[in-house]
Order: sequence, then structure tokens, then C-alpha cells
Amino acid sequence: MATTGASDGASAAKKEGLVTLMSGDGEIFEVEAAAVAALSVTIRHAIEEGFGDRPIPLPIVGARALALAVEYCRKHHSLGGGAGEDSAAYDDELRAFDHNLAKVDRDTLFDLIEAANYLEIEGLLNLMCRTVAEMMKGKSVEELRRTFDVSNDYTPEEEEEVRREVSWALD
Amino acid sequence: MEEKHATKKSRTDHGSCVTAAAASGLTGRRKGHVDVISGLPDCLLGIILSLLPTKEAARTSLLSSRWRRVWNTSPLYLSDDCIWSKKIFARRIFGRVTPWSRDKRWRFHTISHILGSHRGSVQRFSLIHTRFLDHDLSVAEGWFCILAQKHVQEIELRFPNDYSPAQRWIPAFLFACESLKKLSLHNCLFPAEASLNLINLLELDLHETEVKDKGLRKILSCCTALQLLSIEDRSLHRIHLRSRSLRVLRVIDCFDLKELFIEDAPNLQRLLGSSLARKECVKIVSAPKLEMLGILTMKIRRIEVGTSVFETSKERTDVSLSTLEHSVKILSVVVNLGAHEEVKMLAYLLRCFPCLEKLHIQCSHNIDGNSANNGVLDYWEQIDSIDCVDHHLKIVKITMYDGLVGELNLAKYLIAKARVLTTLRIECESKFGKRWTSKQRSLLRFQDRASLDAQITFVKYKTLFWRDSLPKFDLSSADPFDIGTC
Repeated sequence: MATTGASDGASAAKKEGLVTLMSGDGEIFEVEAAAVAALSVTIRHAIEEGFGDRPIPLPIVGARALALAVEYCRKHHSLGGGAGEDSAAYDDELRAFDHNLAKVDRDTLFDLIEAANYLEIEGLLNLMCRTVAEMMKGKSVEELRRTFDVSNDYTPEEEEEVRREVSWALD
Repeated sequence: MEEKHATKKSRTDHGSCVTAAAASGLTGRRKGHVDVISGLPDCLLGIILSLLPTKEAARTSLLSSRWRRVWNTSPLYLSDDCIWSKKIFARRIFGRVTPWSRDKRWRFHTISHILGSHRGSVQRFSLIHTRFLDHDLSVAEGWFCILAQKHVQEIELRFPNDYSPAQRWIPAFLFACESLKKLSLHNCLFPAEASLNLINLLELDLHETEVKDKGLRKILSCCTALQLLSIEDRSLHRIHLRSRSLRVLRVIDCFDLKELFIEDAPNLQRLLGSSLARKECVKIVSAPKLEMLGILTMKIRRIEVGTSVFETSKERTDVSLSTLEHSVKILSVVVNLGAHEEVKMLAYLLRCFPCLEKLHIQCSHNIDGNSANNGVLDYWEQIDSIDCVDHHLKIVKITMYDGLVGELNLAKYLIAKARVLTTLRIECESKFGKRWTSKQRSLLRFQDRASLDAQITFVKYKTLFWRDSLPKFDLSSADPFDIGTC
């Protein structure tokens, strides 16, 4: 029975070309199956497993991050899909899109990293990790601690030991 | 004061953050927690560290015990490019005596230290400044031994140009790194006698590295998974390819090469070079998947494609066209369109590739090219139809276009005959202004075009460094000849 439902659902989804996603906080998104399945391995697998008719639950992805991830998939699917004849112009547009996406606030940035990781959207994960790396580059340990509010759990002795361990990286 | 307070406060609740992150894996981050970055799972922090210079990545272990663990266990990206001592560096610049050797020693010990203390696998190991002295050789061998044990994926080894052959030696243990997928050697001396155990190697870039014919034969027979191979070697005389795995072969500046023989390459998709067939004979017997070919010079010495033969001697051009290569979709040529023999050769070659979709033409302007002879003037008007031009050619790019008669005639011919042409992109020097391009447009008789969808664009030609103008060495770019377009 479940199989019939799934195949019916799959054909219905195929007809409309839409798939329903449910964020961790319960929001429902109806999105083009082709675009998200092309970029997100997780959603591709879910559709293949017959989730076409039911909302695909994405327990750890918040609504805001999901909306942005879907937007990323749409844009990259429509512009970066094939070896387009005007690939250079498309490349510029995509680059500008990525650049803007990377300007999100810090909370959203880390939400997006986790979302991209869970949804297995490689390009988005790379983009966001690169963004964090850029934020870290050139900063001293104290500056990093302040920027990301990382707390120090070392005892003075331990800290001295680590300092010796990476002394080559400290001058 | 405030800073101290913050440190104290976070110190108390740090433990819960670490355990939360560790326990819940992917969902480690809790809303509202101040320490946003530590909430990410280890694997993601590892990715972020991999994008930092080695030195900065190592420094994060001072942040907290979790960061120390992440640095120590996530895959290592070790590049000596960012391992140098500021103190020594400063002394080197301002001091009277250059203690360069001290910096070298320091870097040498640091690399040993990192390889010895890091507990994770090695993703990438890159040496571009480290020089081995005689007594360092055993230590260097030890590094590569460790790398083999740590399942290294990528190695880059680069020596300075001024090294003597003895100093350009590659540690033998490098060839024992069975896990290695990508290897890039610059200015090295490839030992033909070494036993190669690189059975997982996918990509090999030999950049000004001497392999000799014997070494190349060994590489091709031992590296059975090799998909991409780039060779730049002045000592090479003959390339004889029989490989079931190879998909990209790039041959650059092999000045002494006499023959490039593709005997059996069932998966070869791209045959690339800076000026193929100028000095060497190119012979392609079996490459059924060959899609991209170039940059071919039209001053061809001899090319055989299947049983078709193209040959130029001083007096004449010989062509026997009996095999058609249907797989080739993208062709790149450098041609003097003012020279009759070269224009004829281009037309013959186009007939050889009936399914060609994209054509890159780089105009060369030799002295004889400026005096267009009558043969060239009406050559394109006289010839019979060419299959690829009639049915498949969609994109043509002409670079270094000067509007000379031969160049104009070819462009005119393509506009008039190519029925499915979508783009004709003409790249010319910046000295030509708007008036010149609009005159060219009218001379090209665009209104008589065979394809109504065709678009013609004039853009400024961008001069590139020689190395940047080489065909791209990868599998991901849709067209390896799309370079330097602005």
C-alpha cells in the first residue's frame, strides 16, 4: 500500500514538478523538485525513496536557512546547470549571487553551514566554510576568541603545553 | 576588565557546549548559545581549518581543548609556503648576513615536528620552498614514509630553477605512497629506475620535470588509474600512449619531441598542447572518445587521424582524407589565414571532424601573412561544403583578429554557411576603435547570415602570460580552450 501511495505521489509530483519540504520548526516549503534534487544529495535520495507525495522532514534545518538554501539551489540550477553557451555571463551572475549570500549575519551563516551539510549541497557548504575561513584569516588567537566568543577551557599548565606544541605557528 | 569577565563566564559553561556538540553530532549548535562556531561538528570545523594557511590552522588549538583536538585529528593540509619564522625573516631582510640557511633549517625541523605530532591523515603535502641538503635526505625520506602511512592524497614538490640535477632528486618513498591521487612535480628529475606503487594516482602534472622516454613508459604502465597527465619535458623524444584509464593528455613545450602516438586510448577525451604538430608527428590510431583537440598548428609537420594523413613539406600540402573522426566536438587551431597552405590545411582538417560544434581560431601574423595572395582571396568561396559547418558548428571564436583579407574571408564564409551558428566571437586588439569594428561588421555581410540565431560580438583581446594561455588541465571545465576571455 505504501508503495502504491509513493508511486502515485511520485507521478503527481512529477506532473507538477514540485516537492514539499518541512523545516525543523515546522514550516512548509513547496519547491521545484528538479532544482533542489540536482543540488541536494539528501533531497534527491528522499525523492528516490518515494517521499515525492509527503513532506520531506528536515528536522535540523531552520526555516530561514532552508529558504536560503532553496534559493541557492534554484539560482545555481537555472544558471549553472549545463555547459551553457554564455557560461561566462552566467558565471558572473552566480558569483554576484554567492557574494551576496555570504553577507548574511553570523547566526544565519552557521545555520547555513549546518543546513548545507545536512542537505549535502556541496557548493553551498564550500561557499559558507570559505566565508568563515576568510573571517578567521589574519586574526590572532585573542581576536578569534573575541570574534567567535570561543571560551578557553585550559588550565594555565595545559595552555603552556599547547603553546609549546604549536610554538612554530606563534611568531 | 570586561574581556576577563567574558572569559571567566564562558569558561564555566564551555563544558556543556562541548558535550552538547559532541553528543548530538550534526545538531550540536544550540540556539542562543554565545559560542556559535564551536557548535559545529568536528568534521565541519575540520573543513574550515583546511581552508586556512597551515600556520593559522595550527594556532586555533590555543582556543580550547576541542579546537586542539580538531586540529590534531582532522585531515592535514601542510604547505611550507606559510611556514616561515617572522624573526628569521626579518633578520634576513635587515641583517647584513643573510641567515637564509637558518630559516631553511627551522622550516625543515618544523615540518618534521608537524608530521610527527599530528594524529590525523594527510590530505595535502606541499613543498615549494624546502631545499634538501645532503644530510637531510634521510629525514626527507622519513617524511614520505610517514606520508605513505598517513594515506596522503595530494603531493606537490617544487624545486628552484637553478638546482643541479643531483639536487632535483625525488625521495624514493614518494613513489610508495599508494593512497596518492594527485601529484605535481616542478623542476624535478624523475628517476626512471624507481619502482612506482602509485596505483591510485588519478592526476599527474609534470611541470618542467625530466622524465625521459623510459620514465614515461614506466608511468603509463604502472599508474593504471591515471586519468589526467600533463607533460612538459625537453628531454622527451617519443610519447607512445596505450592507456585504458587516461582521459586528458596535455603536452607542453616538449621541444625535442619527434612523435606523439596515440595507439590505444579508449577513454581519452582531451588531447591538449601549446602548439601540437609543429615539430612532432601526431598519430592518432584509436581514441574513440576524443572530444577536444588542440591547440593544433596549421604549419603541420604530419598528422595522422585513423587512416587520414595531413602533411606539409616545404613545397606542398599532402592530404589523404579517408577516416572521419565523429567524436571531436571542440577544436582549437593557430593559423596564419594569409598563408594559402595553412588555410587549405584548416579546410581539410574541418572536413575530418564532421561533428565539430566549437572552433577556436587563433590568428598568427607572419610576414607572408600580410601579403594576402590571390589564392587566399577567393579560397573559401570556391570550396565545396564542409559537413561540420553545414550542420553542427555552433560557436566560433577568432582571437587576434586584425581584419586582414584572409581573416575577413574566413569569418564571412562562416557567417554565410554555418546554418546552426549561434555565436561568432571576435577578439581583437584594443587599438581598433568603434569605427573599425562597425566597418568590419558591414564587411562581414552579417545580414546574409545562414543562421538567423547567430550573434556576432567584438571584444578586446586580453594579453596573457604564456602559461595562462595554455589549455586548461582538468576535466571539469566545459571547454579547456576558454581562457582569458574578458
